[in-house]
Amino acid sequence: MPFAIPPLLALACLALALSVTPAPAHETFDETLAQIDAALNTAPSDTELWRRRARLQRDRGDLASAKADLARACTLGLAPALAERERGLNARSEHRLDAAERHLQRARELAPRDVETLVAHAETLAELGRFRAAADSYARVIELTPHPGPEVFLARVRALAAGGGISEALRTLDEAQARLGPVPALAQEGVALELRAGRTDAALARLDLVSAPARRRESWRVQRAEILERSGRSEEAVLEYAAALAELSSTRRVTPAATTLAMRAREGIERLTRSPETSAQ
Amino acid sequence: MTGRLAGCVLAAWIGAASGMFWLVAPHASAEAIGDVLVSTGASWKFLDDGSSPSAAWRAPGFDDSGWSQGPAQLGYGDGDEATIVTCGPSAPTCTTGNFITSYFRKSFPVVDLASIPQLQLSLLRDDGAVVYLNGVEVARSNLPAGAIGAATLASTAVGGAAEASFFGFTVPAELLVAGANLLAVEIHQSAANSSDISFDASLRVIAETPLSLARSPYLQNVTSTSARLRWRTNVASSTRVRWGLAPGSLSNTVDVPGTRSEHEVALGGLPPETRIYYTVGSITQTLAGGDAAHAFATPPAIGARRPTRIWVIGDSGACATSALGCTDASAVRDGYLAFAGTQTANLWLLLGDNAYNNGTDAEYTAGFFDVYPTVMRSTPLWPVPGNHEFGVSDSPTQSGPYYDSFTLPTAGEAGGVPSGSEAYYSFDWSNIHFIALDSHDSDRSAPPSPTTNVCPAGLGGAMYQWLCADLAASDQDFIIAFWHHPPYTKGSHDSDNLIDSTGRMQEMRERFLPVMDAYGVDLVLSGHSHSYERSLLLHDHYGVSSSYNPVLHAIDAGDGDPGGDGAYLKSALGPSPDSGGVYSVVGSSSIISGGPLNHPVMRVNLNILGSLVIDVDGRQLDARFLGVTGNVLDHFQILKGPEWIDQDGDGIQDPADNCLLVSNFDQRDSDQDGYGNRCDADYNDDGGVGIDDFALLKVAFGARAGDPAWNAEVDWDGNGAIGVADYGRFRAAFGLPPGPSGLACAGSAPCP
Repeated sequence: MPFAIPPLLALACLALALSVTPAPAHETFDETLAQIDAALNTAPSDTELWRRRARLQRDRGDLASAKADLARACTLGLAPALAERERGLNARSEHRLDAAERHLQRARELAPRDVETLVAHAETLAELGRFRAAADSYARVIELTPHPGPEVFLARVRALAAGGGISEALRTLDEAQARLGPVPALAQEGVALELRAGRTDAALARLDLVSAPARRRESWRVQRAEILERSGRSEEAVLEYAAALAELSSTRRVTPAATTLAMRAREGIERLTRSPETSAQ
Repeated sequence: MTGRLAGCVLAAWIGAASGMFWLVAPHASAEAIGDVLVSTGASWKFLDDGSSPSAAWRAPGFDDSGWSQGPAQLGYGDGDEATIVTCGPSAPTCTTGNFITSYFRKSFPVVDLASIPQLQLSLLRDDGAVVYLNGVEVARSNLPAGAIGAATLASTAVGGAAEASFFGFTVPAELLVAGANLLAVEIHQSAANSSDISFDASLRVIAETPLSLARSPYLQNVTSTSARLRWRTNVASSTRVRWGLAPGSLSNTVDVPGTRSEHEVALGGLPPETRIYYTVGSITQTLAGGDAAHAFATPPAIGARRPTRIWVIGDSGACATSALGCTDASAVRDGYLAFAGTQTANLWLLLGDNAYNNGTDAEYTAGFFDVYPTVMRSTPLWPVPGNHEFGVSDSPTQSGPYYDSFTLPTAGEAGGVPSGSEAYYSFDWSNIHFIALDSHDSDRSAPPSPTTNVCPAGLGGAMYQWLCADLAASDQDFIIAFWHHPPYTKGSHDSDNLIDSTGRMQEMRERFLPVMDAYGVDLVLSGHSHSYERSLLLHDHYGVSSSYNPVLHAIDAGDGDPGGDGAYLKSALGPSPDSGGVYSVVGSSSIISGGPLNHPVMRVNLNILGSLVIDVDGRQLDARFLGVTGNVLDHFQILKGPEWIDQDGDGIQDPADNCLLVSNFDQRDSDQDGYGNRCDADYNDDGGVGIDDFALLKVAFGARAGDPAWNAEVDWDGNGAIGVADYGRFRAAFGLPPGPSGLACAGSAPCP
């Protein structure tokens, strides 16, 4: 299964990518901390500043300080929903996933439209192996977000697939592509899922959907040829490899990538035209 | 007591004293500026039983006789209410199952419509609210866009000081009618177990605010046939754009139904390579345009080679936080304008940190839109976010002021492959492909071993996979990529420091540069460090600065300056001629912050305010870093294609060189056969160097210029005498064809 990524690994990567961590205004921890401390000197009761300070401490790995700052923010009247969310994120940083989930669930009940809470909750649920619930949480994010990016859809798709819901995952991909267009990562995810289910033609159809509008298609053709080759459809594969080579010959840009692609196509043709299987056809 | 209330009381008293119908008396008093039509603490009718009224509840004629009534503040759970509203079945504890929506109505009279120019609504709401005046929505706060139902939850839970805050809205007076008017409000909970709601409101007569621009017009998503014009007004208004091919002939009109303060108009069917003039405004008022300054040029069809100028600024948003930042950003802008003169840029790149310190809406207005109004009205702009955008914006959900301010291609509508995201996108302009990446907030994950495992199918994050597909699909002469975090810098940030910027510079270098190299991206622009740094022609360098090895990583270690070491040449020869790129940090467009500025790949390091201007003409790219007076502080050039190759290094490009592999800057060709003397021993022009040619050499041997036996064609070295050196050259060429010249010897033909 050359396109398959271990679902848990994929989810973990995506979760890391989707983690909503507001950017420090300045890029080094010390600079940002100094800036927050300066602001706290003039507004020592500002709960938002204490919350930001707590986040910063967590991001730098100092959980004890993060908890102390969060406690200070709570004492000063930090909104309960925010407090629960931050507690959940702290617990997640400590790998106390059950506790994190409980806090995030409470945060979610208090602020059911807060996207950051929903994403964090979904990620935690996925880490706990509760893929269905994670997928539902991502669905809520998609519902609440006017313009969700491909990453959010992918997270839901991967949670669904990890929970065995391949059909629903594919439906989600279709919905995503209907909204966002033929986005490569969505198409490739679909190709991988179809191949995982043994549906070569469906995988090829998903590939064709994304390659059709491309100005140059040779890289898609080579991938298509490789899928055909792996599924034993050698004659079609040779034709695809040859078509890719023909298209490559007209490129304006003779790049290392183009050279590598041409090599893959030539090697594919060589492999297949030498094989007894092709000879027999 | 307000003037209007005082007037009412006085009129009632006079009416009663004179025996007239006193109820008529108040209507004789016209409203005045400052009058309060609905006061805070007023008595409201309300529906608090969890039922949903018909849609008519928002309009004046609705029968609310069955509703409860009481003075504001209305609500529950905070202890500061004048009237307690029922929360739900768990009342009075209100801990669970609370009604999501409560409804409020307030009728009020208006006497003289002409005396009310505009209205100011003040609203206290916990958690969210929609306000209607005579059935028309006039304000929405902390509720999502789109249709609102009884079960719609408020966007966020309101707590702390916000529970007692009044929010202001300007309301058009045209919605009022003479006589009875109705203000209707629905308050929404953020959750069924939220313990409180609060509501109060006032409506006051205010002087009319003249319609004006809050953000001048700017150009987005410009293609050869389409464009988007955006601007912001101080108050809501209708939307109109008029456009045409001359300032005095704006024959096309585009209206957008409804009113708004954030205006966006899509123009379609534009002619390519044409200057488009325009106005923006409301249906009744032009706010800007109709002159030569409000115009832009559409690009040619994708791939067409036309002179194209690009202006690049980075970390330009300091004006949002400091007066010095404003001075410096303006100076950089003016330096560019002084340099450009009448040849202003066709397009404009923003490298991030466009508005310090957190990229809020107000900071964007002050740090960007207020600084560049004269540029953005005529130059389409294409931004990327920096780190400072993400104090309040978010990439996975594409929300916040950065995403609200810009309209960027997501579906390949400006060229390139659909990304599905405004965080990263691509577009084509003439023969250039541009790639914009989000180095801060989008998924930067890549396949395992990304420096050697480049673009395997289906691996890596969405941005990585999109980049691979996008580059594979481009066939443009030049590719320019831009993002905020530089892969190489030793300015105010250090790309070797893996903690700096939470490793983003390292990630961009290790994960994305191999893709740039594989696809021969020509120029990579970044900001972040507040300085100007510019590399040599580089490839395959993905480590920290100490791992840089010029033998392995420098394609051309020169300065790339046509007036110095000469241009960087990306020829059409070799197995992968489109290799290598130049990396430039342009982060000093409003602030300078120094640093060691000693990264070994950098050929130029300047701690100077400035911006970059790039000119592309055919397969020649010239980039110039400009100071605040428009002075050129760095110039490098990239030349691509066979027309720029000069294999013998004599300064004559191969297509024009009469000796391809033999240096002959003077191009001397005595017999004018197309082959320079330095590579032409075929004296009799019979196509080969043979015994007949030797005979001619013998005749001329020893002769000097002017002698009867003199033969200029035989004088190989051009010293005015036929001697041993000329004979030696003849021997070397014996038996071979003349040349090489042009491409005649570039193939398999034997060449001397």
